[in-house]
Amino acid sequence: MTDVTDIVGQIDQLEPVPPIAGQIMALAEDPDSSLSEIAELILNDPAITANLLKTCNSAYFGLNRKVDSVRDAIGYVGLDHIVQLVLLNSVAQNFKKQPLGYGLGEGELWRHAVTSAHVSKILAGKFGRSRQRHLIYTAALLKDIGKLILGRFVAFSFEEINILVNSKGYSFNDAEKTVIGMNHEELGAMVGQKWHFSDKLIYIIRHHHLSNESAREDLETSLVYLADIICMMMGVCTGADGLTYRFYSDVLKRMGLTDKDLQAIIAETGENQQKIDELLNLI
Amino acid sequence: MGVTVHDPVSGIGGILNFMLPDSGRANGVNPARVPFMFADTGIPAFLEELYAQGVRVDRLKVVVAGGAHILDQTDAFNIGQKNLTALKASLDAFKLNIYHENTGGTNSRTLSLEIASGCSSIKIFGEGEEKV
Repeated sequence: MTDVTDIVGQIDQLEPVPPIAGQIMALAEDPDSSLSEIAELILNDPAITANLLKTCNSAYFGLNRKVDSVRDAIGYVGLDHIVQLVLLNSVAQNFKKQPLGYGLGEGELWRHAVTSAHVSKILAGKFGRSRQRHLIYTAALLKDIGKLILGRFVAFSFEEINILVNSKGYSFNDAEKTVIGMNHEELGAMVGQKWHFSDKLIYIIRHHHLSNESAREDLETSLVYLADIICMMMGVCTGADGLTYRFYSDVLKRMGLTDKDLQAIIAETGENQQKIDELLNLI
Repeated sequence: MGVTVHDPVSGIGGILNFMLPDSGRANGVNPARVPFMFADTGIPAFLEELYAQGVRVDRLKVVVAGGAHILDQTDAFNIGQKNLTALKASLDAFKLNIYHENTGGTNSRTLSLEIASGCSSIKIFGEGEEKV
């Protein structure tokens, strides 16, 4: 087994998520905050402001006029999009890297992250969690951040992990835990602690595969889980771990979700995939 | 779910990647806009396009890959299995036999077709590549 402190020590090699990500989520969820407060917050970060204006003026949004200020951008594309663009810009640097060990090509972890964030946004609306939509979106986006570090240890132990998965019925995250001593959920949660994420965000990252029974009772965590397995079923950048995670039909049943609903969400996402891919390339 | 077809005589072939078995269950999504996403609309549209280019049914080599499921994904929710069943029903309707299939399980697969040779490749990470 690998020395876990070795793994944890490598968290510093990631590009920290800038404070603006947490601040904009807090402002967007605060009913007393004003649009000018949000605009001012964004303006404090010149790199994000520049990328935001570039994206808002791209064919993706198809506006018929040029947007040249953050206030205009909020007015024309809507606050929700602006918050999401800031979040995407905040994490892109890490996720565009190619992790070792998971058999993912360049940009594939990023594509999976953004697609599952998109699905989680659809689900948040369907399940009456619109107020928590930014938290759920962020959690879906960041859930696999642990893979960026754990990947090199997975690469080293891949054969052992693969034997447990293929011959002993282990899920990939249980096999990571057994062979390496830690899985990508735990490591992701540690990254979240180090970067001062909210407790709820850390909780969702820590339990997004729902191995823990009490997490299956938590709606926000279940929505992120669902977004993840929907992407797996669609084959959106599934890597060496493939579909080797557990499916909890009782969670879907409790949420009142039938297989027809599941197919409808997959169809909706599939129809939007081109749009999602356009967005990926803009960030 | 991936399907490749190839006619060695005319050298014409194609590859289809669809996601769902039944366009009738896609609430709110218009299958006319995205026919290739579904087995029931995608496979006929795909094959008719190839027939229009002059491929012959009795010469077609059909290779199928995918249809994986998540661990413990039970019958009703097993969309991979449903995709495979829908695919086979559709191929039957066109009187096409599957030359080779690599389906089911929990692995994700990458399918490609070399059009010049008609050789299909199915890659599974950690298990190498199958060429047929």
